[in-house]
Amino acid sequence: MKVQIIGIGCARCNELEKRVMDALAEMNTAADIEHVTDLKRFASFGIFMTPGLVIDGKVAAQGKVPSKDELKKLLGGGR
Amino acid sequence: MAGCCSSNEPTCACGTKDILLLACSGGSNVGQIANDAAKALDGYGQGSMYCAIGVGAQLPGFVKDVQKKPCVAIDGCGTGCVLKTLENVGVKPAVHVVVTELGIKKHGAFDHTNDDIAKVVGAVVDALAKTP
Repeated sequence: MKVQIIGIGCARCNELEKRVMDALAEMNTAADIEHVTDLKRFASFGIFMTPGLVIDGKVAAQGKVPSKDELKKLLGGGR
Repeated sequence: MAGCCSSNEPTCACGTKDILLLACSGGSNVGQIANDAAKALDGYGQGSMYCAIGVGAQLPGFVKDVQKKPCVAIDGCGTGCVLKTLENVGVKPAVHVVVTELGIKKHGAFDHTNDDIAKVVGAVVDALAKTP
C-alpha cells in the first residue's frame, strides 16, 4: 500500500503523518509512506485543501486531519 | 475556506493569508482554471481568495482591501480583466499570471484537468518566490 501525505510541512500535515504512522503500527500493517511537500504537485493528486491524504493513488481525505479510528478504516480499505 | 491553517487545530506559519487572490471566473475553460487555481492556493494556505467582481464594481470596502494588501491576479486569457480591474483602482498586483500564457488553450467548454490547475498554481508559486 502506498500512502501519501500532502502538505507543505505545517503542524496539521505533520499531525496527519504521525496519526497515519500510529494507525498503521496498531494495525500491524506495512505501507510505503511519502510526505509530498511540493505544493506545485498537490492539485495533480486531486488535493485542493491541505492536509491531504492519498492512498494508492486515490484521495482519501483533504482539508482535515481524520481521527486515528477514521484513518484505520481508510487504510484498511486501501489494502 | 477552511484551508491548511484556518482551523482550531494547531497551526503554523505555513503560508500567508495576507495575500489576496483575485481570479477570473469567466465563461471558458481558462476562466474556470484560473478560479480553481485561486481556490486551491487558498486551500493550501497561500492566500485568501477575494472577490474580483466586488473590485470591478468599485464597491468601497473591496477597493480599500486591495489597496492595502498584496494581490495576486490570475487571468484566464490575455484580455486581462482581473489586471484591468485592479489597475482601474490604482493597484498593481504583486503577481500577475495568465493561464493561456502557460500553454493552455482557451475554448468554450469548462472541462479541464487537475494538471491544468497544478500548472497555474505552480506559476503563481514561482512568481511569488521572485517577489521581494
